[in-house]
Amino acid sequence: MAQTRRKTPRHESVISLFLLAVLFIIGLSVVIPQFNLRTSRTVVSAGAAKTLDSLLDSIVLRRTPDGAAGFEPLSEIAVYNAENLYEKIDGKAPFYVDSGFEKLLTNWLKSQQDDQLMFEFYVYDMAEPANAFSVFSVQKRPDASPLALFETNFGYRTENALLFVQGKYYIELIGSAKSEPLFNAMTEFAKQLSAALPDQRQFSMPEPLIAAGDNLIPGSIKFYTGNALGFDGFDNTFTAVYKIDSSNVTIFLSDRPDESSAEQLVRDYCKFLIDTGAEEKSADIDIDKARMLDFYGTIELVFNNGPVVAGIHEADDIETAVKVARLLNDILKPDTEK
Amino acid sequence: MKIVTVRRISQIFFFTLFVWFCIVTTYGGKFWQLRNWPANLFLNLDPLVALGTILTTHSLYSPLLWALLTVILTIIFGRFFCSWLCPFGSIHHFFGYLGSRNKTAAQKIKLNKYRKAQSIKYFILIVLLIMAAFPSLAATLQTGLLDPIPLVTRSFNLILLPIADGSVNILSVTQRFYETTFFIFAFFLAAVLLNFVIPRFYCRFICPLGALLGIISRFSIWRIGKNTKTCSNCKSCEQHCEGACDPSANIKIAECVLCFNCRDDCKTKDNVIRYQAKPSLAGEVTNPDISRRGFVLSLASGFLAVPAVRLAGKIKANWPHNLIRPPGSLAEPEFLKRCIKCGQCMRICPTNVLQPAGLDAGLEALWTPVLNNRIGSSGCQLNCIACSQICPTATIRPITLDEKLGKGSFADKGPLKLGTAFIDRNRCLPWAFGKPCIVCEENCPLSPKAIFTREYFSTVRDGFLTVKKVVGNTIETVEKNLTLDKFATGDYYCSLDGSQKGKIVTNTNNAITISKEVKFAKFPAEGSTIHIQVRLQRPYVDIERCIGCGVCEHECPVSGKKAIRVSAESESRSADRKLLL
Amino acid sequence: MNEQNDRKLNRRRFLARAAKAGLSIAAAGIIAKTLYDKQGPSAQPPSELVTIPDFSVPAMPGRTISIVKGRDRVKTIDKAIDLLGGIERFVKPDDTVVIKPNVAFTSVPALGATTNPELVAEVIRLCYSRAQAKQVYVTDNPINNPSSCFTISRIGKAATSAGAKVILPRVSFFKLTTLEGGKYIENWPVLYQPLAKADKLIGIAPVKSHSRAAASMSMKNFYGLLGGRRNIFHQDINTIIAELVMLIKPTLVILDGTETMVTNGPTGGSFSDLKRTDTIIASCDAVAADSFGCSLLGLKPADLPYLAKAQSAGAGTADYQSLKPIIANVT
Repeated sequence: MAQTRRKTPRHESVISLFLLAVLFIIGLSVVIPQFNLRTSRTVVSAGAAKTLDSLLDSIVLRRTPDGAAGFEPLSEIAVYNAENLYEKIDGKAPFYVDSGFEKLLTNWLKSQQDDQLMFEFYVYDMAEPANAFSVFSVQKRPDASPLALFETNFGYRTENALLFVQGKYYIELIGSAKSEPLFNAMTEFAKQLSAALPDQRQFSMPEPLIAAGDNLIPGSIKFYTGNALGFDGFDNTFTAVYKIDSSNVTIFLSDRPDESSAEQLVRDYCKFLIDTGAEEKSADIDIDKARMLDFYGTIELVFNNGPVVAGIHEADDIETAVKVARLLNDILKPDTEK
Repeated sequence: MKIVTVRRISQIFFFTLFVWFCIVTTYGGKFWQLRNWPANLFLNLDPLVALGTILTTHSLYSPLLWALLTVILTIIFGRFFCSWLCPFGSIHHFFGYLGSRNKTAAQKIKLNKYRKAQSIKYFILIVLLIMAAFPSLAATLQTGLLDPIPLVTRSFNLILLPIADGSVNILSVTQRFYETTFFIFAFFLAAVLLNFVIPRFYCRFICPLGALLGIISRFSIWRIGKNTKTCSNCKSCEQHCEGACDPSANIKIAECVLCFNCRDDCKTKDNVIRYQAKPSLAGEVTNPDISRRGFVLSLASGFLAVPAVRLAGKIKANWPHNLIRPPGSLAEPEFLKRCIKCGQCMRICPTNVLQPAGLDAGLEALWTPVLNNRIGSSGCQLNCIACSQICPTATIRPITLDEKLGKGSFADKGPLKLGTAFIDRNRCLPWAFGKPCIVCEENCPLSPKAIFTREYFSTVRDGFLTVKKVVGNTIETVEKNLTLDKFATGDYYCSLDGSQKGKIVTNTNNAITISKEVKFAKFPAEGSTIHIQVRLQRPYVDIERCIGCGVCEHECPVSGKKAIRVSAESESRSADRKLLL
Repeated sequence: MNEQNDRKLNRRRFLARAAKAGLSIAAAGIIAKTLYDKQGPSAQPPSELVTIPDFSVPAMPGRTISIVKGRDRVKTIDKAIDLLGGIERFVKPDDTVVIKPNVAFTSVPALGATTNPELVAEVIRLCYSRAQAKQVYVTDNPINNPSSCFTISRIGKAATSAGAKVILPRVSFFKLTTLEGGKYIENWPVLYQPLAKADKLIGIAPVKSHSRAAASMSMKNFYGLLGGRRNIFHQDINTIIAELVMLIKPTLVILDGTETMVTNGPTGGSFSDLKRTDTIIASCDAVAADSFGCSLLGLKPADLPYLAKAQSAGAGTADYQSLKPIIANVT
């Protein structure tokens, strides 16, 4: 009995091939994740933790230089990763995690002589010097005073705390009381730690800020990995406080990939300000495409110089804003054009 | 490319995937072990598992959300699951094909005609769903008995793979063995062999999942149907119709499994049979063929089945004490509402201690996991939580190691207990037979141990001897029938008038040598009696520490009825079975 | 003609079927969504839900909230409570009182991240000596290790020296509760054990800035009664804070703004994070207390969305002026 071989209609073939493709994709999606297997989602490899751990343990505070008694660790070093960081610092955790946080090592050191004197150290591994500098600079306390041990941009003290940044690490030493002997012990700890940390890189400031040199308030440079000045377009942005005539004004600058994206960012920032109620003013300034806005009584001035976006934030009056913006633009101009 | 070709490829693909997932349900990190393979994929896709647990627990456990995908695709396309995905269906398809290969066309058509008995599966479905929907604690999930995915999973997990692996021992170092598997196998074999009677017997007459999908596919957008009226009525389309749905006449949509064999077999050039959006020109029936009487009857059976099944009396005061459940299991009423008897936990257990329960725990607990400490390599390993991680319905809650061991935030609750070990002093070697043994204490994995021993000296049979002469440290006895070196094991002591003891080093058939380190205060006089005593360490269980892991029971050398046995008292999952306050 | 009718009929039937299919899919989706259970079953059967008792005392108009300025915490809190009618209005003889301070961190008192132990000691003293309470308990479910927190914050010592008992959290002390009308507190563990046998509940919290919630004051203080992996609620911090005051109705809340943490909250770390504002607020309405307290941080009530949420849920009022706060000074 001869069977009439029907030719498979085209739409049937198409659908069949499509279904075959679906099967193939299902197969891939089952197999491929097997190659990306991460053995441990939680803590960083034990090896890395151990070296920093033992380093911190090895910093011995026997007799501090002025003869105060030694300090000893209260318990074991606690290690936190991005998933459980909140268990230690609660609401501040997202700030660190969003800035690239990887690991925190922390412990208490207590004076062997006086029970009330102790300090806690926090060593944050932020993965990159830029991130470490960012969390360091953004959280700088208003009463920061300089430290002999560190350059002003990289370390400071308050009444009871010593905070500094080194390489990819951000370190906080928090003392339990206002006590010079205690602070001396913390300084000694910081000195030994700074010398022994495996990452000795120093975060490099951008050229323009170095060029601005003495005109900036020492230690006022901040680096934001995101959300500078409250605007989410300002990632990778520096701010600093510029001294002009007897007042201060905040400047900012941000390196963008190219000139057109810099120009776009200027437009976006202005739109953001206008949307939140700023009034645009005509920028009486000889910087190409510079824009000036009055934001509830303070002046914002923003422009781009090639791929760099720069500007003035919350200036008190137009003259100051324009003056500093010109100075900033001059610094940004490449040497040949000056 | 024909659609039936893709369908066959799909069957092979999913069947292979299924077997692979059964293979990788093995504890470990290698490529062919669990890692993060989605080993529960088929169970998660199964809408009957999801519906059953929704009815019993009023919640949809998150991995089972996949079933929604199956439901949506079935609503749109029809019962594709049965002939494109279901591994059990593929097995039946294959054996049905084998069985009818050499039959004539007319015989084949006859085999595939629609039978009224195909409505039995709907009754089965209704009975199972009613049992699951029964209000409150009485609800019981028995869908796992007949639901094809759990059924085929446990058949492979518990029988086929152990048999296959038995000779090559790749998956498991020793032969894995499961109890009651004869019945599981009989079930499986019967279902497969019935395909030689009628193809896809199970799918057509019994499968409750097929019934559920049949009901859901009522509104499918596309369905098989006749496209033109120029059909010659040769019925070739029914030669290989898998669903026995009558495609040549009034097609029964609820029975059609979308195998597309009808379309492939149709001889007419005009392409009579199509998968189309309009109803078949020869007529179609979307409702399952259930009579009202049948429906009411199955409803009633469902209601009555629950108390009938519960009347086995295994509740409240008469609870079965040797039913030890895996660590992390829910309390029994909740357990029975979730367990689908898939056997995944039993398969992944690295020590093979999890076994399918028989009928002694009640009909409801049939094939649910219990520990049998005599089987496998060693009780429940202390640092293992494999079964709790793989259970697809959270019948065994996904616990952390901290919770199992009572560490970290669970430090106050203490470790999870499966039960408590009880020493049977009538069978224990040191207790009943004067034979030294501390195997249970040695093997207790806890630190500090939950088994401790107390020293006890017991005079051996024929151990009262009369002193003949004492030479140095050797005592010659009047009796000459001592077995050479019987007392030389280091466990035997010679006791002089009940007080001083000296360890026996060697003995001949009439002399006993005491260890040189012993200094007797007073030497036994000639004619006095000495006792030969065996030093026993009698084990005691510390019931505050014991977690019922069963390692002691497994190691006990009394290999028949063990001298130390775990019983379910004090299991953490049941508040009312505590031994202690 | 016939064919056209046929086609029309088929199309109508098709549309009807498609509509039914769509409805079935929607129904299946809705069932799946409402019954979706991410965590799986808990160790205890679900029927053991508890309700937190209502610890509030009858309202007295004009004596709901007091704001007292003073440098000495003990004198200031005494005055603040007296202005509302004295401790005797709140704690009756033979009462069992639970005090819930902020013991969240292993932080010394000087850093202001936890409740000042002097305040805890003084409130305990008032409960015992003036109100003749039978027993006072002090409890919290800290973020860091509980016993270290109670030790380093000195609250443990202050409590026991004053005659109170410290209740450290244990897993068995937590019971599941569901807040009616709540989105997040559903079958969620709360530190129920100390509250179960209590007659009165007093919350004592410092005023702190908070990077996520803008401020952490008397309402957020009750976060310390939640158990489980409660940090997931930080994703919708304003709703959960509002739900906290819907769940917990305390007898009295005391908000300590003597040294307010104005920067780097909630953990602070430097003494320069604190600003001397020398104010203590005692209030029967935690929402009102917070709506005044935020001014010590330089914020307005509108800056704290959780105030409005709590007010619209009926858990208090964000307009503290309407309660006629009693204002005083203590030298």
